[in-house]
Amino acid sequence: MSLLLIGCTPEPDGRDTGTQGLDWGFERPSQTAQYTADELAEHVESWADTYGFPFPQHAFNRYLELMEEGDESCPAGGSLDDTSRFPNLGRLEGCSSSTGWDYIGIGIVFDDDLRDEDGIGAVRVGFNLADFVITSPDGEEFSGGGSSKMQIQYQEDQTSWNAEFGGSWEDQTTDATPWMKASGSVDYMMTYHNEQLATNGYVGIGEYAFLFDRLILNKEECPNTPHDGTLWVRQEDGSWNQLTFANDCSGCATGTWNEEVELGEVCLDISLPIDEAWNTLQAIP
Amino acid sequence: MTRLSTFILVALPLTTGCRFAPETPESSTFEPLPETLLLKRMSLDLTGTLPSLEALEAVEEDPALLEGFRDEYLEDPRFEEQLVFLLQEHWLTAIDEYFSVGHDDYGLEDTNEYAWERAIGQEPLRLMARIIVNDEHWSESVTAHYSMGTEITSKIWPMTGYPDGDEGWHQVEYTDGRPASGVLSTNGMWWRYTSNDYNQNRSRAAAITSLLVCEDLLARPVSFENVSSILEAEDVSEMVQTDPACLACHATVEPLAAALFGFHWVTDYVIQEMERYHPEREVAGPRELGVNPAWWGEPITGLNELGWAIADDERFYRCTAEYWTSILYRRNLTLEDRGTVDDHFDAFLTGEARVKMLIRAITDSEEYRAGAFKVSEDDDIEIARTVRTMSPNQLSATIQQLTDFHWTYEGFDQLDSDQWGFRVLLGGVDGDALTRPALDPSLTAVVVLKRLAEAAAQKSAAHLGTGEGLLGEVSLDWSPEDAAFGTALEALYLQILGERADSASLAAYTEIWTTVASLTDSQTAWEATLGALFRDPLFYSY
Repeated sequence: MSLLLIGCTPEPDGRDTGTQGLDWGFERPSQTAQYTADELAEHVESWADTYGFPFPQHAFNRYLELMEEGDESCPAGGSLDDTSRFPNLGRLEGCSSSTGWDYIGIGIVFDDDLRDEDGIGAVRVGFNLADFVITSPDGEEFSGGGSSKMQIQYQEDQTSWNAEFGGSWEDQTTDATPWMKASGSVDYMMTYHNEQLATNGYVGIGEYAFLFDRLILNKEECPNTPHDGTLWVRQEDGSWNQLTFANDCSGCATGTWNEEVELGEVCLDISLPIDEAWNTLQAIP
Repeated sequence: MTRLSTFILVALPLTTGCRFAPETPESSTFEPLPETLLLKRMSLDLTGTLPSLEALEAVEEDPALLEGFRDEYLEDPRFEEQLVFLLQEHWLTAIDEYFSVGHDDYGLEDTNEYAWERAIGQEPLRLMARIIVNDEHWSESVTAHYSMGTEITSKIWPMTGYPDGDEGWHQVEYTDGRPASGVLSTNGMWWRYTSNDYNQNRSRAAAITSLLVCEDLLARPVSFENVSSILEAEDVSEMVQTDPACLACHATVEPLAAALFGFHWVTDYVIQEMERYHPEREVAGPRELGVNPAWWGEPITGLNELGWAIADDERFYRCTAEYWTSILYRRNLTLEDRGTVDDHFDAFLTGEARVKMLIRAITDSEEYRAGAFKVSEDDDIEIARTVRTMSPNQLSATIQQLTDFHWTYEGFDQLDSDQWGFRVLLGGVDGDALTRPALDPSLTAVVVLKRLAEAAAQKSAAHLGTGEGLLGEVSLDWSPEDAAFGTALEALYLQILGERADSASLAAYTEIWTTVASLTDSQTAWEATLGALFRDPLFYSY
């Protein structure tokens, strides 16, 4: 047995098989801190004022709205009780409705009410899988690829909500939510409980790229900034800045670049998207 | 040793292939090819087509012109097209199916399916081919800020720079913030070499080491003594970073995989996820895998620096020399080839890492120019290829060159597809199930060649006497008794087979013509003769 192995293995030639350098004199792209503390705050505020937090409801509700733009046969009607909202399409060629809207792909949605007779339990709604393009009569597209799973947990004395939201979402149709208009890529979780919204994961919108590292929002206590956690902000050269909030509602975070270089105090105001987030959360039944 | 580990140890070398087989010829054992046949070999290898009749006659007259023609081929527009197919043999990105993703996901007509598939799979190949044609430093292949796109991908992917209303391949740039890393930043590369939530880009990392520095981690022997603990482990991710048996490969794999998370798809095989780069997920690599990005122990910041780390690595250039030697020698290399590869590698580096210089060095070598062995066949050293068979794309290009016949069906190139075509039957590489070309003639190849020859000859015979094409100057009135008949047949023989016909060969083809003419007519006789020439082993081989 061993002989077989030896027979098929190159004999060592005595050279190191690891990296061996050549002196071509290449200049590698360097990374440096792009932002001062104020510029970093400005960058984050610019995102906040323009796009805000992507919620799975934005994509899911938009999908339901635009599904109603078709006719009886395209996109094959159906209701939320259907396991698939494109029941007859699958990966086929799609369909064109008499209203001028086109539908292609699949959108497998779910809507499960698991509450007992006392109203205790969970309601789950969302996409198990989205992989669709809906095109308006003007040729504007709303496309989704991923999943969004939302759950409302009703208990005797309180209600909590959580969501897993992943995938790429883009909406060029009229009245699109700004973050989807700019094209959004998300892979994160949200939990709303006891007046706190916790976010954790990756969010890319247009030229903005963030990691919400256990970022906690609490509108009552901190209306202008996150309450706790770290917001990672990518800069153009691929390196990252960190804004670490210290659970003190001071309106400022400790800024670092590459987790090493101290940028000082980063004070910012993102009250607008916090307000919008709470509006979205209040709309949950 | 357990029975399981025994089986795997035995099976591994057999299934992964013995890249380094023991036998190889001494370089002094070769008889050189005659110059016209060497010209044919160079022309087919570098342009995918046959040399012109004028070139054959010129080299026949003055063999010293050979190098000049070789250099012309390196500047020929067909060189870029041919490079794509040669590179495919190593990179294997041009596949027929991309899992559950299809052209219909984009609402494309079925007639565009083949063009869609190749627009994806050939993207990295076209980028490399363009870099070679432009005679740029090979580091550009892993650091370029641009890619290549077609009228299809430039519309469906986030690309800019494609000329309005144009068709075919053009230089483009992605607009989704992906780092400039040449082939490592192309969708075509990562649609071929996929990963998923559990694999976490590890298979992609293994593909990089195999393709770019010829370190095939999957071929390394693995100890399965701890197999039971792996199966029982709750956190395999931690185990691959701590268990010595795992670390042998994963010490390299994990840090490399950590650099690739911008291409991570949260939902597999959904086009919206697959077609764009996700800059915000770059930071997921170190967090998910628990290691910072690195290239064989050298820390890097991520994908933006990976290409540069590879470009600084000597093995990248040696691997390039190795696979080009294998491609142009039409065989797997052996341990004994180290010296040969070293020579080509040195020429490559001396030529400032321009692949054209590497190809010159390889095509200058004694083995490339070998036509036969000096020693007896009994010596069992026939690992070198003194005779090669045309690849499907060479056949396709050559037949099109000679007859203007291009075999397609429903938009599919019949010699460059297996979904609707015969690429594998002809010995080609589909990039997925078959990853090495069949280098010997086969029954299936002969069957396909027969149909190809018939169709091409029929098309060519339709232009007989019109002044166009292979038979354009042939008259229906000629018969074997006419001197013009013999001259025409001799010219056809030289042009198609690349060598002068001897009297026996001329007589054999004349007999085919005569037999068919006696049964039908002159045009059909020329059609049959031409078809026979295309099926001649001397045509198919070079």
